[in-house]
Amino acid sequence: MSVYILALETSCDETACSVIKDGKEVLSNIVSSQINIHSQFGGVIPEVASRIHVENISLVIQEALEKAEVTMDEVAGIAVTVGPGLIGSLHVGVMAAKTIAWLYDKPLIPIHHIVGHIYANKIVDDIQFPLLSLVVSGGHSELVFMKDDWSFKVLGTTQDDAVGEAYDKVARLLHLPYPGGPQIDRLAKQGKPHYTLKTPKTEGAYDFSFSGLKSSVLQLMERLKKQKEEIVEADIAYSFQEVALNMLVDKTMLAVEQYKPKHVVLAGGVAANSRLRSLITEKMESYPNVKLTIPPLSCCTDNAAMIGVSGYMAYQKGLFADLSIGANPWIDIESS
Amino acid sequence: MLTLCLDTSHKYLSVSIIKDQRILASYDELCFKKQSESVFPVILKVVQDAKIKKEEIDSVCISIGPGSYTGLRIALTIAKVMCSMKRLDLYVISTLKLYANNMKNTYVMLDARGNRIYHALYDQGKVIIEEHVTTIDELNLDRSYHLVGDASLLGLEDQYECISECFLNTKADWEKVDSIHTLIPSYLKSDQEYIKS
Ligand SMILES: [Zn+2]
Repeated sequence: MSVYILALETSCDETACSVIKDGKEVLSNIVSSQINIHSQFGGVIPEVASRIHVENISLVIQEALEKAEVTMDEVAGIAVTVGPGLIGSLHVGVMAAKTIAWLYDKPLIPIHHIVGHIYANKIVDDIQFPLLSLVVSGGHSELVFMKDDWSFKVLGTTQDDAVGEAYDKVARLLHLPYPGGPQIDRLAKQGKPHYTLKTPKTEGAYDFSFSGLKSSVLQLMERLKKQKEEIVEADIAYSFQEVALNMLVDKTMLAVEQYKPKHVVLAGGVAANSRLRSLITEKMESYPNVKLTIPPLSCCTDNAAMIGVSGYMAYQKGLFADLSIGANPWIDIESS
Repeated sequence: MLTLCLDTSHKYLSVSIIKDQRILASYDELCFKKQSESVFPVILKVVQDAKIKKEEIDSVCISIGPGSYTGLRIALTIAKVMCSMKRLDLYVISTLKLYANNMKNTYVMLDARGNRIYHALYDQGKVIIEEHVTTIDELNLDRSYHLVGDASLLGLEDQYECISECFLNTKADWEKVDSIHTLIPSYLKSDQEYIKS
């Protein structure tokens, strides 16, 4: 008999619901994006995001069930992102999931958002262990090593801003609209290696740091202005992107050397970046025995299908929560 | 009619099951910042105390605000999901009107933080002063009237009616919601204002 998981994801600015069959097949994947609203303000305003989640939540759930043509009787469990993320946003999804779990007497399956991003790769590929995942998004920059299925070790993380956040901040300096990632990616293609930006230092070998890089961009622009030199925005975008992405990819390669994974996967919204895709593909050519998966764009950004795929795994393991569970923005992936 | 009534809009967590003109079971406690964790254990207990099955519930009534933004979204999320999925009737009532408990000449004032309050005046359910946000300094209260809510802001004692009983006593003022999916709380402060401040 098939196992259907209904999954909810509201950790940031997407209200999403999905139905997943047997942990792999996406029957529906409804995402109601708030990006047009937040782009007016150059970023996500938490209170506004929470308001839109509560406005959309019931319709998104209904659409996901209708599209999947699955009834609640057939659903085995309710998976939901409990963290990390914006507390007010997480609350709405967790409350909705608890309501459904109670109404239909289904197990409630709490899922770590990053686990979702990693397992999103399962939608498009068989995943092999040991696995190394580079998780990059507006909220996260982490290197996660998985010795086996459902075992998570964080090798390194950002010490300040997430890489996506750095993109947004630099985009603002360059007067580009929000979200900054695709804008800088596009502009950098026209840029040349004209400016030098230093790679920020970090404590741990696998840790990242991006706020210093953003400051370097700011200092460079101010210096150029003072010296009445032309500011070539495309060249700034190019240099920023090269430093940021090389830091990510170099540390990933270092981890490949040391941890010898069989499979390397990209995850998170920044995995949509075209330069990151080409850079990691290029570097991985030196490791022909290690499989590389770069998920399609639709799997990279926040969605509930990835929570459903992870939810199926957790369902098999009986990792359920009771109805007194709350959203937890500081949840630790290693305790998943 | 068997109604699940929920109020998470301010300092209390109130859950009750009301059958026609009777409260079958209820829970009313002060609940600081723990409403989202407590609400389902409490619902489970109240449903059990009422000796009903949750499947018998045919309607939900919630307070729709104004109040704490996070709090308002708790009951609203439960109600929207429950009523849309199970096709139940959904009713709402203004939090201030609920707290006025259908009493004669009753002011309601709730702390809206930053020296502001949510304020209204009702006379047995009739709106005398519409709900609005104001400052404490601007209040000019008729001392012969009732005062409900965070009266401690005026140096008096906080004054609250039992909220489950308020639901029962204001039943004539419950408003049926036609479009459940598009329902939003009454924040009394728009997104635009929120962003500017
Ligand atoms: Zn994400």
